[in-house]
Amino acid sequence: MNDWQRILENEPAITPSPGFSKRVMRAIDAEVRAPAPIPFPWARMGLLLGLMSASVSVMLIMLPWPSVELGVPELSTAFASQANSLAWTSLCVCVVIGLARSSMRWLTA
Amino acid sequence: MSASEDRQAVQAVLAGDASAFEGIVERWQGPLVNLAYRFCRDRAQAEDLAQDAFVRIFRALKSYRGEAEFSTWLLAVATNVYRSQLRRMVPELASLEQQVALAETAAEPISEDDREELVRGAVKTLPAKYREAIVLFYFQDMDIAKASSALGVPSGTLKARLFRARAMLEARLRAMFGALSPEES
Repeated sequence: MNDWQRILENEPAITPSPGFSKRVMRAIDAEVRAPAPIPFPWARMGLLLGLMSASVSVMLIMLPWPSVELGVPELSTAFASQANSLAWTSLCVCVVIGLARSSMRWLTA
Repeated sequence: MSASEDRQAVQAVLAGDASAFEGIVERWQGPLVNLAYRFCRDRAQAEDLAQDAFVRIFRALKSYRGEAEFSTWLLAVATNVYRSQLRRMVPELASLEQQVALAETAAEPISEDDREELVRGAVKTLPAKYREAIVLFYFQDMDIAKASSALGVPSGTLKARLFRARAMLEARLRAMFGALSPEES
């Protein structure tokens, strides 16, 4: 074995300072006493997203799109042709969120 | 170091008795401070690093599944703390150059203590991944399996890093005072 390897293997150990373990336990106590981090409100975000999707769906289904003028005639025509599929997409998103939430509740119950 | 005492302490902490962690601190403060010292070569910084490591270990106890030995898991967590904090450190190339100059201009033969200090200082100048491999492998008779699981790399990767690290270290030491083989010393 090379000399440097012997030097590295036989390095004398240092001793932690006398108050080290107490200091660590103080840090642990502070950790225990610290309030738990506030979790991100996923449930509320899901609800908000669901409500938004629902309102968009209702708006798209209820409003008579061909009569709405958006200023640019091409844009109005394009929007009117897509409004129906947009409404159904929003409704689907809404249903999916609702199903996901209810299945999560069912799983955690 | 008793594995069963560690297991009991872990169970007590997980059951809500945080004071049981003191047993783990008492048993492991020596190895964790020494391992940190080998990474940074500064006593005060080593204790700060070890304290951070203990706090991280306390937080992570919930994730300890008991699949690996507690000692291996604990050293892996501590090593991660040391690595992430010390990776920001730039290798001390300037200090190595000073050491080389000192060794070249020294009129008297270098003492054994100085030589040991130069060898340990040379490890600190290695790039992080090689320094980590060397520090862990030569710490408390760690074998390849333990060192690689502490570093979170396959054993083949660790062997390759050790090979490269040894070559770099020998080249640097040769530059300082010729080969440090026993025949020449």
